[in-house]
Amino acid sequence: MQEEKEFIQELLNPKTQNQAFEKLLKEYQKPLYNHIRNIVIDHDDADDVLQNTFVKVFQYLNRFKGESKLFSWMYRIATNEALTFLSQKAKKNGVSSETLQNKTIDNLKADVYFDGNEIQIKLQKAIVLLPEKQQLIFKMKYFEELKYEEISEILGTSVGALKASYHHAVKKIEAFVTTN
Amino acid sequence: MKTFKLENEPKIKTGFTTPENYFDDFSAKMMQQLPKKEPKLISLFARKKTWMYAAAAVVVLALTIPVYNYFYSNSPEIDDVTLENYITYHSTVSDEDLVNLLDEKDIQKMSVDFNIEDKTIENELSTNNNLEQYILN
Repeated sequence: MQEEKEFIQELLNPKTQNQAFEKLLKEYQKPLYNHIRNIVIDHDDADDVLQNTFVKVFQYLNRFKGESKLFSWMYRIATNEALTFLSQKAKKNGVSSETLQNKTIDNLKADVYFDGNEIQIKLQKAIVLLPEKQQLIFKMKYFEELKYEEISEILGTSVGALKASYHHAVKKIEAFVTTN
Repeated sequence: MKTFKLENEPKIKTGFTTPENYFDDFSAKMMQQLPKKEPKLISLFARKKTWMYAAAAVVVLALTIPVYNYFYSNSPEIDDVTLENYITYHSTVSDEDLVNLLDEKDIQKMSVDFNIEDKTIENELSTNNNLEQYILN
């Protein structure tokens, strides 16, 4: 924690800022990209959202109070950015978020940045049917392999509630894959 | 149909890939994009520009004053007679409108002018040689 405080100071100090930010990018761009990509699905969209996320992180760093870990604070920004992006994109296309997500999943096969088989596509189709929060929890636990404690800090939900949500999500997904 | 169980299956990955060197390029792109927080340097040229704008403003102002004076000093002042004539011959204001505009005070003011004593009238009449003429008319 002390180390993290020093790192934040380096990020805020104009003299050490560039170097510190480069370090931040190296450490977090991959996990944050994966997190965002799992929400928005499309690579170009994920690229846009990841940029916005780092710009926001840089902008609001001086307001970061250190109450949570830098890691979870950044994940929170990324999650908000990704969800806002999706709802704005749906609005722009005049469709609901669910319709947009279904359409994106249907296009996955043709996506040059997707290398998956039928079961992977089926899993994505099953996830889209879940409520938004369950989708997030499932993706963070199953794909990103985050700990319940970490997800709890990011989403502000208790570990118990997260476990229950994940359990429900898995049951629904298994039912969908079995019958489809 | 076999029941699908996530935990019995080998780990299913997302299958999402990225362009080659995406993360290296992203870092570079991001570093360039970051808003610079360094203090802004104001070049001498930029300062000179301000002075130039100020000087231009002064010149424009200096030129405007004589023009303003020229137009306003030459605007003809309307004398009372012209004004009266205008109102009498060109105005669309009818007598009735004028009457409506006058209030009690105005009327009292006007009546003062006609408040002439009888004696004065008599005097005037007796000394006036054209009296007969008036009566005849």
